[in-house]
Amino acid sequence: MKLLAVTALALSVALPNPAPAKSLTIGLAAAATSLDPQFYVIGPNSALARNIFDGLVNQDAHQKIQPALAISWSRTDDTTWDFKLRPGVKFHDGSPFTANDVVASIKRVPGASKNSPSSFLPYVKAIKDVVAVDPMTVRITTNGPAPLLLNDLSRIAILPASDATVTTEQMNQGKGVIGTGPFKFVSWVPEDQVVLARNDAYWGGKPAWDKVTLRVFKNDSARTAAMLSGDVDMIEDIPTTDTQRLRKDAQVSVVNMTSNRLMYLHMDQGRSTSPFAKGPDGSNPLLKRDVREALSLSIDRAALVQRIMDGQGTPAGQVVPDGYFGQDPTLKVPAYDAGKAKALLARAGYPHGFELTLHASNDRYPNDSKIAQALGQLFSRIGIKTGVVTLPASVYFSRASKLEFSMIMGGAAVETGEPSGVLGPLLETYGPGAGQGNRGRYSSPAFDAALKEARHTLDEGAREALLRKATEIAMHDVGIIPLFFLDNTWAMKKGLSYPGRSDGYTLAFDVKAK
Amino acid sequence: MGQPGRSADAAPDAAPGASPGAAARAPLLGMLTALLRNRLALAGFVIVGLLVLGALLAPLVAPQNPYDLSKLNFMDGRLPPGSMSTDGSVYLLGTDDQGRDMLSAILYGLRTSLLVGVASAAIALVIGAAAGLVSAYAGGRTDAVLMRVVDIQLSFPSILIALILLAVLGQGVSKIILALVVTQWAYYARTVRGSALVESRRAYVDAARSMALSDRRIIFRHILPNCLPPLIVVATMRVAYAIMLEATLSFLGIGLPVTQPSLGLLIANGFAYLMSGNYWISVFPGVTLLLLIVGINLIGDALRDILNPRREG
Repeated sequence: MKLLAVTALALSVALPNPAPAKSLTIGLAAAATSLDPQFYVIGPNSALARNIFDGLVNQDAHQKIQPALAISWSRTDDTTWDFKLRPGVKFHDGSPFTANDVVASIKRVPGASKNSPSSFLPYVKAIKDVVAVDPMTVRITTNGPAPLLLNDLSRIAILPASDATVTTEQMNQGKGVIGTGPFKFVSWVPEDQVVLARNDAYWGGKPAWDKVTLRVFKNDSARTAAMLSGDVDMIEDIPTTDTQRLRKDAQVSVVNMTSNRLMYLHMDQGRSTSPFAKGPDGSNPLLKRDVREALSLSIDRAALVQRIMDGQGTPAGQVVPDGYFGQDPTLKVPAYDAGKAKALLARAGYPHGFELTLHASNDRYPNDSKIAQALGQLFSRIGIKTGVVTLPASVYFSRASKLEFSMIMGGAAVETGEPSGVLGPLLETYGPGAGQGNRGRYSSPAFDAALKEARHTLDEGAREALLRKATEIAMHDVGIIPLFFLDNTWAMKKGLSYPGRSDGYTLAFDVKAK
Repeated sequence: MGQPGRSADAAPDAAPGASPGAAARAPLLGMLTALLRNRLALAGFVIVGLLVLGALLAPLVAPQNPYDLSKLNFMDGRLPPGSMSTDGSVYLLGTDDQGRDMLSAILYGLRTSLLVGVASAAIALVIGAAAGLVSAYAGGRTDAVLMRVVDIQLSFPSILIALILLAVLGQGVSKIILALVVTQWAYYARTVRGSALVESRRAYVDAARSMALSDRRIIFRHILPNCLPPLIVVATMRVAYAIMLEATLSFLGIGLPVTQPSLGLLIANGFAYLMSGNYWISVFPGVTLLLLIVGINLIGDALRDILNPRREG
């Protein structure tokens, strides 16, 4: 050790020009609302937390689980998991990381959920108990088989045990914001910026940046302008309208990555008459599978992505993108076929179409209102008399939940990194604790059975097969119409690189100078 | 009412030199000729006239029905002015992101803007004038209550009231007109009350009262015509304001359905593309809106000058 230090000293003296302090400034699209990583499940907070904290396991760029503070795990029976911890890890305050910290962190979650708009409780719901077997081993017992335990754990930031009693308010004042992650917390100005400093002792390797400043530009144009003027080195979430401009700029490079957010259409399948879908006899045409398939085939997904989204999307034929656990390679993106769509409509008894109003939000997803209008055009072309109404999200979602519409557009993020996180909320038969986001009221006993079984299957192979089966049933029934996955985008100065992430997080550690 | 002025059964005004309203001596025709002699007003008339004509004839002259989704093709989206469409016609002013021909969209958008502006101003005028007259003539508690309501309403920015109303009512032309009427009637009420208060103390009103004419007759046949000059000026300005307010609401995305864009919504649609250089989506509707507002204001200004009693004194 001493020798190493001496060598390092010698090296630093020997270098003629010590590298100047490297700093990185990133323009973010949304501000974190709290520094407490266990307070509020929302993108900006989680992204910020990942710069400072680690979980027992972390999700990689494609939401696959990777070892982090735990280097390995094993299951002794269906409900008992043993985690071997990474040795030699130190918190930012210098204290060593041990099993006690894991126990304290997981037990802190219920306390940190106080007043949370969306707490982390769902991620510890499956956990019955957590104990420190020895300083480097943690045992977690679950309530029944919990195939998603690792995913749940990837959401829980590990804090030092001394933080067990630190409240969210204290953290927001900068107290106890201590993790094991690549960067240390320096300062936070809410709604404006967060400053981070390098954690030289990071277990994943020394970060490339001495200082990282995360500035918030909620306004799309302001963010783009900051990038173009060189105020920031990098921005996230490029507005689609500015994509052309940034791509043309020789000083800027653009990174696209298919995100885990699926844009889809829900169709009313729960009622014989529907308020905004009326056949000539007044009945609800969306009950017929042929009609739903016709609608799906009438959508030119590639053109939609290319023209309306400026290429910032990936056409979808199922609920998770390529490369995800449970993705079904046999399900292709439905090919645009207006002729076949018309034939299907005629076969279903609507040779002259029917009346349909598509409702969509106009401030929730990128270009939501424009996508809805383009869909209106596509439906009109196969003879459906289509109207399009867009509403602010504040009004839209509550009315959609009250089933005031017949066809709605929505977006769903695959938080779990596998299909059940979307299949469950959107397609499972609506009832207490099930299908809460199923605003189309699709219902299939076969689908429900496959999904339910997958939830209790620990064997990865068998679980994947069940999830594929469920997906196939729902897609064959056209329970929803998948449109496309949004792309996450970043723009950065030439000379920087970022691999991109499907969860959209901007992690300074992964930004590298070429 | 062919001539705004005192009715024949009113006694002559006793106060020498007082002018109970210049319009009383200037018939509508005279007002019009005076207007046309004013060069700026003439320019205003020409601009507004052309725009109104274009709006009225939109279904005949527009190359495309921009409200018919089946006629649009988003593959033609964001083409610059002068581009050829996939079916061979030319987009003179380019297209927006949905492939709407901008020229057609502007002509149709003008229809909406004018309809909303004129209809809301007219309805607000009737309601406001009635309230103002009643307030002035009745006086006392009625006056106090009505005018406090007006005060409260005027103390809120009209955009705020309109936003709240539309959030509750939802989208649609009739709803936006209703929202604009609610936000505007108070201006008319206050204007009319002011003039009516002055008029109701004049001798001719006393004379009418002494002849035992009904209140209604005195209000509408005697007082109202003499309150018209300021009312006309306010109405003209308010039409322009209503059009602007509608454009603002549409710009914010809460006025009219997206498939029937008015000028404000067209500007909003194009706004996001300005950085990418697709200027035509915002600029052409913006210029149209500007011309319309300027035109109406030119007429309004000239009217104010002509109807100003002091000018002739």
